[in-house]
Amino acid sequence: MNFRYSFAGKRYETIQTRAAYVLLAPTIIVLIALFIIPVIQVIKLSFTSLNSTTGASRFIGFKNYTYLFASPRFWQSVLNTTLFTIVKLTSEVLIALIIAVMLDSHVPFRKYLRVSFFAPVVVPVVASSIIWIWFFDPTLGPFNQILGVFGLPQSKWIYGKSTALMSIALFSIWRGIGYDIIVFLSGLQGISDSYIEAAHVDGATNLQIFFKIKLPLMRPVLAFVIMMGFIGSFQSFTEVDIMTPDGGPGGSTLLIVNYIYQQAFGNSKMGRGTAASILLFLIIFSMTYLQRKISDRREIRDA
Amino acid sequence: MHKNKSKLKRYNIPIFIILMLLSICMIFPFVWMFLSAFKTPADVYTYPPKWLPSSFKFDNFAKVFQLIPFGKFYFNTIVTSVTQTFLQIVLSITAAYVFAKLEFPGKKKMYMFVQSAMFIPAVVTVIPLYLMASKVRLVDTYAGIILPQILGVFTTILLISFFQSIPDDLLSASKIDGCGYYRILWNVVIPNSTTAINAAILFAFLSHWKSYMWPLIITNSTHKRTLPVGLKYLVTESSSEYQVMMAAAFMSIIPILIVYIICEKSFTRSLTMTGLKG
Amino acid sequence: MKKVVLILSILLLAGSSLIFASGNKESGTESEKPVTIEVWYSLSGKSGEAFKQRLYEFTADPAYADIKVVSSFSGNYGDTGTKVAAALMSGTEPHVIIGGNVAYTGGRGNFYAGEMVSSDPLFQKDDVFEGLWDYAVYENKICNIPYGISTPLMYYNKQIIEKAGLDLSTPPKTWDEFLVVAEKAQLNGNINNADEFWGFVVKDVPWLFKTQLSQNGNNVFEYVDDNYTVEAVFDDASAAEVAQWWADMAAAKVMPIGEHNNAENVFLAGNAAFFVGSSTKIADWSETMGDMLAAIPMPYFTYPSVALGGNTISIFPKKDQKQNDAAWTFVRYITSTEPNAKFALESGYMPIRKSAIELDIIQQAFQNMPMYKTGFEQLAHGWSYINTDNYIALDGAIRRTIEKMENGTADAQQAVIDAVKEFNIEAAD
Repeated sequence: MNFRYSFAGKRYETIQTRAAYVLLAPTIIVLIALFIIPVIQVIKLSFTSLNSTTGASRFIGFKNYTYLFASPRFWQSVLNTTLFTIVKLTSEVLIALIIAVMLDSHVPFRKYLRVSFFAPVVVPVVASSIIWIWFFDPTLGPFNQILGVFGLPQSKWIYGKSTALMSIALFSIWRGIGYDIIVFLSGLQGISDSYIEAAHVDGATNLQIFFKIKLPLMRPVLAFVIMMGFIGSFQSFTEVDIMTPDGGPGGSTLLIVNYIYQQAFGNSKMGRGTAASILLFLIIFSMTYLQRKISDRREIRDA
Repeated sequence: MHKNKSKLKRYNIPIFIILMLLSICMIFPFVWMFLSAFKTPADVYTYPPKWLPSSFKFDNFAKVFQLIPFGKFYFNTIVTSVTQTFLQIVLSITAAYVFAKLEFPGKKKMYMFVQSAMFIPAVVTVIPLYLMASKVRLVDTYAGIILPQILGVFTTILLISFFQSIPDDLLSASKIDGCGYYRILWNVVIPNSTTAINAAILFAFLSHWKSYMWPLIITNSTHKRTLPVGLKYLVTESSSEYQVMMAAAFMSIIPILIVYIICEKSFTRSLTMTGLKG
Repeated sequence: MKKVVLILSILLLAGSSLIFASGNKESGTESEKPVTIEVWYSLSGKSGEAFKQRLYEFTADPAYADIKVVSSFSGNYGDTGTKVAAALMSGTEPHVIIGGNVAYTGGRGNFYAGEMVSSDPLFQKDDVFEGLWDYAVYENKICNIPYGISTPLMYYNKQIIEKAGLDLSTPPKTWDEFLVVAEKAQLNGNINNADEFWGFVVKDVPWLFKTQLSQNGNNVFEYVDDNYTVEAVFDDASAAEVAQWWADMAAAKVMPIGEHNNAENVFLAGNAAFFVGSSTKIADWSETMGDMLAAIPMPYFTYPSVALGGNTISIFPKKDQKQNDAAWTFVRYITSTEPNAKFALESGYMPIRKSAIELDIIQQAFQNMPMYKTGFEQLAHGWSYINTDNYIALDGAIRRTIEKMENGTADAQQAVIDAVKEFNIEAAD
């Protein structure tokens, strides 16, 4: 970072500053065009009644917001998204961690195993959703058949009000877990052997080593995966749009982004859609801010 | 990274069995897809479900080509995602170089500014971006698909942390040799961080390749659709006939899977880097 | 790094060779300078194939060599609506949409198709069944042209009905009679020994509900003044009676509660006796169901009536009159007697023209496919409600009402009052 001192006595070198601005300009221009202007527009639009069918638009103050706050469907989508995120994130991270630890042990065919866990990640979500629609078919799908063979009760999957959201979460875990596994695995492999050997010498069991040494060292990786997973699942859209485009039985799979899409593009209520997207932004922003605060404090405490 | 610590140890068979079972669960959907792509309507709409097709005919594949211009979807996806990746990486490299290695007034503020874009959910900007695109007549064009998706804050941040690890001495040396700041980027920084750039390219390409919402909104006509969007329409177009959908899913999944298996190492490295350095 | 770049470039090359191959084909057929028109259609399955066949015939006809049609499938009605709304905002709408809602034409003051229908004698407006125009008007003015018009049919699985020992030669007339028959079918007709077997399933709940409302004398919407202000009226006693029927069906456990999205596959697998759906299923399911598929006339409450379904043609005039003429020529062609009759037969939609009935192919179809005849006869009491901009909000409100009724958590009268309330909130600015 001390590059500057090696050149001139001045704090900033003119040529260097100019080069920096020139190189940064494209990014800044793109940033303004793709983020700043749209964000300003979103705020403006959220106070209008812009209807994409009729093209009519007028200023209506906070009416879109009061509509959303009073709308059971909007709150349902917030609740669904929260539930979806909690279930997906906790089970995905836990299972991924366990699988990563197992992969870190001495097993044959490790490359094959890694490939098989990661394969769903590289596949377009639309394509894998299409496969899973069939899986979830209570009548024609293999899931219920398999359950039946083992004498287990059958499920309605995405067609039942109580099971639909969890079915989508199950799919979502399947398609995303490979990423977590690979990241955790590299985190585990990055831990220096000397720590572990020293612990072994001290007579620690594998379990103790995992909880006392590996897990604390993995904390930054975990924090990163959880944060990215949180932002990602709060913005989930594709799987619901393909598997239950109408929001599932009784709106049970309607996620916030799907709600926004339905309002803005399906229902032509652009104003309501933008207002809802601003609320989504506030939720995501405050949650990530909170998480940062918590992990920062931890680091300070630990240090 | 690689450890040979356990060469002497015996394989851990119980864990291996658990992992194998789990991995079968992971690839089962692909196996089902493969088998089902050959099923006839009669095979599909029977109760209880049949697992094996009654014959291995390619009727469903033919049907897909009859329903949708599959090759065109592939072409569109490749053109848009490769272009997006290229532009995104160029922007990321230049910005990352500036933030990692150059000093200038307002650097901190600029960095905060760039970073803040990461926290804006894509769906927030989708509606105004659509309105803007329609004003400049970019709806249903390649440019319309490509341009709004070229900013990668994530890849920028990833590259910053790598560029920072390039020793300053190396840069100063070239400076003394008479290189300008642009030449330093080209001659020193980029050749010294191919692994990281490679990782960023794969990461960017993968997300563009899978991109769904924006192409869905911005494309209208069949011949501009990307693969994911085309597949979405196929669900209704084939009136949800599972066997046809499987044939289409098969054709869109297998190539990327093959690419993945060939470049498995690069993929893993790429993802690992994003995880550890992001 | 090298490997990745190599593979990306191979992908790019492969893609471009594909496009060049297909691009050459296109430029080869271009002889003179034809007028190009863009057409979106929301016809899927067999209907999509039937439409593409007409398109092919139109293109092959030397009389229309100067018109080039570029067509795109635009998804189901919902997807199409989404696309059209967005396209209208950006001025990228096509010339013709098949499956367009009148809200996107009449709702925006575009009555071009209506004007053409009346002014072009070649179209022969009087030949179209009068009742169908109700489906294509906005504020009582024609703005679209009926094309793929369907009626909902009460399908049944012959094998199940036979196993249950039922005779449908005198079909149940009212919904109450139907409930009894469906219960019997459920009791004795489980051909697969499935764990879950139903007397009746339906996917498009709002369509059936609206049909039933019309059978009970409720028009869903009414104009309340001369400015065509629309008011939702499905909150009276006649609507409550319909809502109560759903509660009764659910209470009798004849029908799965709150699960309608997979109704088609349940029926196709032989795990339900009756199914309500569009007449287009006649074509779509001809391979999957074969001879097992049959239909009875729709049961009713007070008098027979069915809500018309399907799609209309919208025309969006452009500045270039040549393009408009080409679009109109194309629309006139596909709506003329023979192409339309062929399309109808292949898709399961109803022919729109009286003159089609005299065609041999239609007469043969009536003889060979009793289901098709049943569907066609229902056209005589076809009904449409007033089209508004908020048809999605209407269907949503109906779905939630029916769900409440099925769960037995609501009083019918209160449920329909709430439905209208919800609709009004959703439809407001």
